[in-house]
Amino acid sequence: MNEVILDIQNLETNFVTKKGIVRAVDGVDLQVRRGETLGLVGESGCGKTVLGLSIMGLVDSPGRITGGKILFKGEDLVSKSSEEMRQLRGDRISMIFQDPTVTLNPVLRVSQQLEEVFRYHRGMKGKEARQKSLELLSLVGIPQPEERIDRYPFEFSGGMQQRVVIAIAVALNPELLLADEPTTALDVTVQAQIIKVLKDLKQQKDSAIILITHDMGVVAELCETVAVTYAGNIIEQGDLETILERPSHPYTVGLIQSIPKMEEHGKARLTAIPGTLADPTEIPPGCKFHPRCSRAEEVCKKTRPVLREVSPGHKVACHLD
Amino acid sequence: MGGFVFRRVLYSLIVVLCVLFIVSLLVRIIPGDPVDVMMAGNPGMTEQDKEQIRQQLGLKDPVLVQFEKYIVGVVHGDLGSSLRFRTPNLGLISTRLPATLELTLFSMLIAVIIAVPLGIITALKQDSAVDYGGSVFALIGISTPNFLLGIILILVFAVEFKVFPASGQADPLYVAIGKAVTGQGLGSLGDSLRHLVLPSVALGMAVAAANVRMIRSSMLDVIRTDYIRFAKAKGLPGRVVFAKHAFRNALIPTVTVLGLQLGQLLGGTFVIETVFAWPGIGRLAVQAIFWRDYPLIQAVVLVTAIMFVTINLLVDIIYHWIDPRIRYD
Ligand SMILES: Nc1ncnc2c1ncn2[C@@H]1O[C@H](COP(=O)(O)OP(=O)(O)OP(=O)(O)O)[C@@H](O)[C@H]1O
Ligand SMILES: [Mg+2]
Repeated sequence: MNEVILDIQNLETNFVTKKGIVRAVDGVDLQVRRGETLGLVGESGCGKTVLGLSIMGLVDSPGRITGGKILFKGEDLVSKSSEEMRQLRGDRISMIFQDPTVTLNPVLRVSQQLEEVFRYHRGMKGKEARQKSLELLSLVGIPQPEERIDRYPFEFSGGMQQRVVIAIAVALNPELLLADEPTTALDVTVQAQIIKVLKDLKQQKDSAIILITHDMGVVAELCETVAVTYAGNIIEQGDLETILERPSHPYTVGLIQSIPKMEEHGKARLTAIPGTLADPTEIPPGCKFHPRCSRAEEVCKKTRPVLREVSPGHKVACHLD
Repeated sequence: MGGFVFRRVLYSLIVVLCVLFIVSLLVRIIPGDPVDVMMAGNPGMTEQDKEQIRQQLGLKDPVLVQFEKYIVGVVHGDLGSSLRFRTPNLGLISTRLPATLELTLFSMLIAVIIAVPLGIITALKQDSAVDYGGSVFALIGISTPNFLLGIILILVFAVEFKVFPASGQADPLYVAIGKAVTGQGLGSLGDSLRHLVLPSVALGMAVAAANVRMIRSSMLDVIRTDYIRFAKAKGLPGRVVFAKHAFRNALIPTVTVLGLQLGQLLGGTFVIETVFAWPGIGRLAVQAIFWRDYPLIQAVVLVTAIMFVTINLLVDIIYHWIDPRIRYD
């Protein structure tokens, strides 16, 4: 097995708001190995984006990392200076966002937005940067890059814009790529194309990828491992097969069941998990999931379960097995 | 782009034509007998003189004929003659126009020089003391009438502290710059600028204040956008994120209203030139109104309207250059 390149230990990121302190990331433990594609899944609002931004060092005020470590190849990113983080971003760690139609700057040509990555990280200019940019556009499947590179983002479709965003993110072969719901804002057919782009990239580059998504289908296509988040914690992590076939945490079980399954007569069945995500300013004592858990016992209401290894590579935070 | 410019020029010409039509009829909308009104206070005038003036103003012709004559005149550079000065209006206006342009453009310059940094700092330091200070400044700037501000400035800086002159214009700026460039010393330039400061500040303050608010709010919008977050995620240095990705986008809303604001300033010159005895067409217009010199009023209104239309045309073209999204619509 490859070495661990990202080791997050007990990470906490808070937002101080008028309503109280929002513990968006509340003690996350997560490991990612070189070349691994990890699916990070969980309901809306459980802190996936904030976790990604924390790794990038891009949490804006009123948010702040208040505890824990993010060890990237052994170096703690939390304690790095903002200039050190800037040099890392876009070079060794990249991030792409959900909606490609607002990710690119509307008044700058695609070429300008691509070439500046080479310029500010590698000091490349002019022809050299342009040549590299053209290669990248072909790599992500944009036909006739010479004709398109000098256009503006709004002249591209959403899917093509996401390809450009991906090209920018992988331009310098990052060791870690964070993809925050890269397909959610796109049409189904376009989604499939973007998944293909990511799949091809995985084969050509050996970046580790953290793929943030709601969509178990996307996870099944792309990921080797899965981490499930709930209310700012990782509550289960394991390889794809284990999570899909033998989920252990009651929340994961509910999540897997909520994937629409085709029955014999072709009808889709959806089992949603009853209840809603706890208000992040009022976190229940004990296990955060216990108010929604059908199997909750006394101990679940009092003590917070810790993430522990139940079998090799399979970790769960639950009192019940 | 070419097609767009052509279309905009065409629209502008149509607007100018409408203005011409309205201005040509201006004399007709004076209640009662226009010539009697204009000549009030001129008791020596005979009925014959009045008849001659009626002819001259075209009041005997049907509306459309009057309009046609007016257009033909304007196209040949004839804007009529002033009743008071008995000289062509065009000459009167063109000797005073540079002073007005100088004042208007200089106030716009001051407004922008104040508004751009203040708008950006108040946005970047949101909710700080600087931000609140900026808000107070903007509130006062927007709500103080320009003539009042002008009088206050005169009282404080001309009468009390005697740092700037209270009224009048020294050498026109272009003349003063010419002297400075050709090595005749900086004295003339300094004097011109000293005369410009108070009227420009009085005229431009409201625009500066409005722009501070606008730039602040668009800057706040821009720094929260995903494309700024992505620019940071690319690892660009902070100054590049700001100068290349945020600044231009934040200025777009302001540039769109710059034309309107130049118009607002041009309108403001009527009052400010009067307060500061500035020898421009605004003051000329106010005097023409007091003298009931209708042909002169007509000419000033026409020239002002054409400037207004031209400014808006230019701003539209600049706007299209800044924001490529509309360039292709
Ligand atoms: N700038 C902010 N100020 C205050 N609270 C914030 C801010 N950003 C995020 N949060 C809070 O942090 C929590 C986690 O948000 P986050 O965006 O990470 O969720 P998510 O898992 O990415 O959800 P989604 O699937 O909808 O993208 C939410 O409760 C959210 O309200
Ligand atoms: Mg999110």
